[in-house]
Amino acid sequence: MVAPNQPTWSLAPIDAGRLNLALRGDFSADTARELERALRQQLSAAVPGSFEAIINLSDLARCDVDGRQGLLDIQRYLGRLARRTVYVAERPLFRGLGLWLCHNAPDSNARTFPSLEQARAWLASDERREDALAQRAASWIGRLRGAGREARP
Amino acid sequence: MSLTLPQRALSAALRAMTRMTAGYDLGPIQEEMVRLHGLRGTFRLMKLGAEVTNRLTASFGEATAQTLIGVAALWNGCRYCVIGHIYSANLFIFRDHRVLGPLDEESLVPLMYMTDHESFAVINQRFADPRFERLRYLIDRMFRLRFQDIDPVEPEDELLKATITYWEWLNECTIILGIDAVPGQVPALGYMRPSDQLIAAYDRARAAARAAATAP
Repeated sequence: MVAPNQPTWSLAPIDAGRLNLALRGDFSADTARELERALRQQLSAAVPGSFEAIINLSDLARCDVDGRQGLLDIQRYLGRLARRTVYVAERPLFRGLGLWLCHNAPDSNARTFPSLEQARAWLASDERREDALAQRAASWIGRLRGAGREARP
Repeated sequence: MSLTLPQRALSAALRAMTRMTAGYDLGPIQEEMVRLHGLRGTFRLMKLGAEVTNRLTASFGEATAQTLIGVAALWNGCRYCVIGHIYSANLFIFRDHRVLGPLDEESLVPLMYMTDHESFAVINQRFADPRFERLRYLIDRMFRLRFQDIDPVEPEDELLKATITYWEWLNECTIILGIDAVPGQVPALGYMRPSDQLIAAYDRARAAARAAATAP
């Protein structure tokens, strides 16, 4: 639970090639605008592809439709700079929000995970999100058939 | 990116085909599939989805298959799929046993606000009745496969893993409706043409149960 006057996001400077951003409490269009300003200021000199962005949604309580649109603008901005973007959320409703953002941006280098631990392999790879999802599903379905004939992406 | 003429024609044909065979309209979802995956990719996506659903149904029965799909979609955050597949599971349970399924469609979005461990505990508790022992076991396996990244070892694990990974892939497109979907606006997904009488009887029984639960 976030107290009324507590900031609804926190942004740490890029460290070891990683930008950490956490969203908390109720997220609205106003907070999205403030966050986008802060991000643009912090990343004004960033070299595209030089960092990965980790956006933690675990303490988010609510995000209204306008806040969601603001986050979409932020993802579109970040997508031009970050090598990879990962949304981490341990609540499925906000994983859905992360998925919606990645899909609508659209950004094949952005993906949602339940934990940072589960994101590590994808962070280290170059696969597009859509390709990775298709390949994994086809591979497991192929295993069901035994021959693995459908294992191609 | 807008669709080409053949893509638009295919989307319209797919939509009409779904309306005809399943009795419901997926709205803009099939168009989104064609936009993202192209013509061949969309056919492949749908063919593999039918294969997973058929294997689940053949292995575990209709209601259990739809519940497992619904839970897999719940973990991806797609409200459209979780509501639609759990609604189907509930209709199958009601058709076969004349009882209400343990997961009321109205309870699903609140479940998605919980953490994965919290919602898993609630789902387990809702399915505590011994008649759901097998389903509880399968959901437990699916939870471990999804969140603890264990390797499949049990006979049904590969099918459960295929279900998890297929719906992660599918929800990439369904999320366009899945972000805001609410019960009452989502058809019974995966249930081919439930009769109007069944739907009406189920809706009446569910409404009565909700009224009884909130009565002073």
